[in-house]
Amino acid sequence: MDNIRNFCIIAHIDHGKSTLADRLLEHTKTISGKELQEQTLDSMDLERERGITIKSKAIQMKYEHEGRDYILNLIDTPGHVDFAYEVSRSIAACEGALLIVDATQGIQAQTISNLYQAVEHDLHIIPVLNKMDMPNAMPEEVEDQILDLIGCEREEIIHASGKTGMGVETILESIVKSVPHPVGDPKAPLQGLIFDSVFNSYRGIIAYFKVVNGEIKKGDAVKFVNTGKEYEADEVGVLGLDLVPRKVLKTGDVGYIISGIKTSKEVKVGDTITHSKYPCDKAIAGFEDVKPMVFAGVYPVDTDDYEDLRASIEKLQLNDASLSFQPESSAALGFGFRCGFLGMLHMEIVQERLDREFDMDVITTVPNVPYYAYTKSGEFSEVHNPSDLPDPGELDYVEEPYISAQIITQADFIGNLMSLCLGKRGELKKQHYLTTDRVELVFDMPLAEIVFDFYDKLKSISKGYASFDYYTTGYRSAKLVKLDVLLNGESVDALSMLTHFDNAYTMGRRMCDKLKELIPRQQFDVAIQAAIGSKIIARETVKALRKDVTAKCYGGDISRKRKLLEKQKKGKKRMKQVGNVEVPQKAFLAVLKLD
Amino acid sequence: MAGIYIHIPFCFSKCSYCDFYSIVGYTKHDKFFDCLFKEIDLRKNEFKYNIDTIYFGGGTPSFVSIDFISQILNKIFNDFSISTNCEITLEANPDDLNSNFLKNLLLSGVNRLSIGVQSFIDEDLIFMDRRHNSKTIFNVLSNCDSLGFNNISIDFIYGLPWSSIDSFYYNLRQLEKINFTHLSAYHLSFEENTPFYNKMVKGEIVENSEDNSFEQYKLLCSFVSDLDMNHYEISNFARKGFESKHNSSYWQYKPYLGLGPGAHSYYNNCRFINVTDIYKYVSGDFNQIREVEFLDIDSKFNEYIMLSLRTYNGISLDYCKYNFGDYYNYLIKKIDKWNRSGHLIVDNRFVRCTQESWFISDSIIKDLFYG
Repeated sequence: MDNIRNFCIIAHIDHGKSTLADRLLEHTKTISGKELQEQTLDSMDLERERGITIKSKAIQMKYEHEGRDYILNLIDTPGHVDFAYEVSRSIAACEGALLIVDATQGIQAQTISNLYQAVEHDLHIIPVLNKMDMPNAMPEEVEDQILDLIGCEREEIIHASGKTGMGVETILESIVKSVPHPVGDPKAPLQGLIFDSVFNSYRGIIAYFKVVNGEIKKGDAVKFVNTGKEYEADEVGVLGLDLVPRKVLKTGDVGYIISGIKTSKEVKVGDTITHSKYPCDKAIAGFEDVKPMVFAGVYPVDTDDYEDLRASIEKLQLNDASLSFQPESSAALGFGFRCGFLGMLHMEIVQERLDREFDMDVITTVPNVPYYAYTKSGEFSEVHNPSDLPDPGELDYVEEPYISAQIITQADFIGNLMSLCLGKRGELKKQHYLTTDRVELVFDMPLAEIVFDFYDKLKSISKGYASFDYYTTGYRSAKLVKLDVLLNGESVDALSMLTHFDNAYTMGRRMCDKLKELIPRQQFDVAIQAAIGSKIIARETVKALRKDVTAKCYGGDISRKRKLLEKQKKGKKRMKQVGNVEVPQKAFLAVLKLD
Repeated sequence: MAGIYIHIPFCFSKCSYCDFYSIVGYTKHDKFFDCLFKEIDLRKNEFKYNIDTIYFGGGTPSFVSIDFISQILNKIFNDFSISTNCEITLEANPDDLNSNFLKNLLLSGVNRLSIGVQSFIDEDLIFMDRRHNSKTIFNVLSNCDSLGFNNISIDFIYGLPWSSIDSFYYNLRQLEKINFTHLSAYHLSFEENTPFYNKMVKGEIVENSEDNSFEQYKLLCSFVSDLDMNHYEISNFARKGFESKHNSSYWQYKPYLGLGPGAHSYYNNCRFINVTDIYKYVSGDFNQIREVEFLDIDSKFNEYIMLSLRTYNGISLDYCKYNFGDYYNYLIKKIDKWNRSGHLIVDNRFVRCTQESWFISDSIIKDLFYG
């Protein structure tokens, strides 16, 4: 146990976490240069393209220092606000953290919130200034920010570069010297903290965990405390570049367990593994059932693909436990699923994975947050879909989720960011100058307001510099109305949304504008209306198609014209027939692109 | 009943809207006609139909020497079996139709002229890069009249970007001053790689609005019907009995043989496409210059729908039942929808567009397509 060091990396997206991790693996010969695909730790294609780690991974390194052999376990963390809980469990499994800050950019909001979590868990922080090889590095200024944040000595900050390998040896030494070894009672009943899981199509779910107390042997009968399920440990081992089976994992070790589990729902991040026969007294603290915070309908473009879509989502869920779904139906779109996501990025990722990995053409409807509805008779329900909102006659009041939003920005943009956040019903809670020109702003805001175009606006207002993080803080009562959209007088359920009363008129007008842009001319006028209840609040018209004709069609034109029209017919097939109106797929997400 | 189409790919200059295959400045006309002769020799044994129509299109057939036209016609009369009242059309540019040319044309056997008038407004003609002006048109047409050419078709373009309903009305009124039997009025379309198309892409000219185009179309329909002409195809109007037999055969699915570069043929369930390259064509290797497309049942059905809905006769439900039995119920269901919306008329087992719905016929055709 004395020679084990468990650590994670805290960094903002693009601050070079993955490249630096590669250097550590290379330096400790865990991986040869040949094997080293760029950014080894991110293995999904999608991750590599987007440059974000969606699912965290762990890897073990061996390192010799002053004649002693050490085992270093690097636990990788996802870098996006949607996955904050997964980050917190990874941090809970460590004793130390590398705080990697881009020397050209300085500290960002994501970094700070993860850093606070690490400090809360008493992790030893090793500050690293990365990208020091860049000509535009500004080490002194960024060092000031770090000093201000964690109150270390200036000399303790390691200068490094993932590109050139600068500082890598110093980082490894520092991990060995200053990160405490894990503490735990080898004699106590087994307590293993699950911090991640992956799905393997041959072996089922592989759970990654840290042995906090006691030990686990291959073949042990184990129990997952929070789910209450029992399994046999078919295989345990440590995480090299591949899985390395071991007979036993002892206190402080980080490893994996395979126990024939088929679905990811049974393995919850944060759960505690213990022995069935000699269970521990209580589970490791901090477990939460992760709750989806964004819901949207997902429908097949071709209604015949409903069963295929179900199979695809089920498969996807095998390695994405945070995705939830249940069947729903829409008058406009037919049969589909109401899916719950951790956040907007998670939703986009799921959509893209459905497209790439399963070749599913889907329509996603306007997303909404989960609302609490209370009826006058005192009944409570959680509303995931605008159509589930109780009848206005019975409804007493509605509550919506609130967040604490943290924004770090250059001082120049404060004014515009303030008006953005206040316009989104935000209340300023804190304004703190990190340095003379970097400010941390904290707002209380309704989650619903950031679901739409908040993030894009934030980035454009701050020219890409402001960073943003949030956590949910609870529910508050809200003045919500259901905004319906009617096409030629027929209400289109898939376009309905819940919105704050104060925004409803603007929202309705903009919806109509946007839909007018997106719905092509048809053989008749198409009236687009936005309504609250029976009251129409906005209207636009798509005028009837006047001209769609081929002027000449003689001997030499026939073949070409037929093929052209056949091709156009294929294009039209991708549209959804709503009543007698043909609506393109992208119209259902139109509200997200309002400007 | 069958037709022969001869593509004469030469032009004095290119018009800015035209995307038919043609070449400017190619002078070896004799070499081209030698090859045309060879192509006739090659095809005459596989195209064994009675020929009812012959059509010289282009390019500009009136741009070549009249001797070539006579020789080709002589050869066709020798090599094929020709009906007694065969319709023989030649496309002509007004500029080329001097009295001498017209006289010789009559002697050669050509009995129908399709004249590229396009507009009676000189500004339009200049903008379209046409060689002639409105005065030429009136002269030529009175010449035709006095020489005894009594089957004249006029080509017309409307919906020009700068046109108004008034300027188009002026154009139509000029038709009252001339003798003609047939009118082809085409809405301008921007075909890729034409000067007009390039100008549109650059934003130098803007497409006419749909509403204005539709107004012009409606004016055209009512004006021409007052001239006692039948609207027998989307873009074609004729006095009774003067419908273009040759073009009608395309829409009626009759076999035709296309000769010359870029010409298409249809017979034996296949469409054949000659290479659109004069140099490859005159190389004389005819097996290399023709592509074949076999029509499967889906394609035939779609073509039938597309072509018949363009005509006043429309879709014959009995023909469909007999030839496309598997698609019949599908078709009936689709037709019913458009019938109820007032876009299709069902009349005595025939289905046709209304004059108004013709202007959105591509939408209807697409919907009726199978696949």
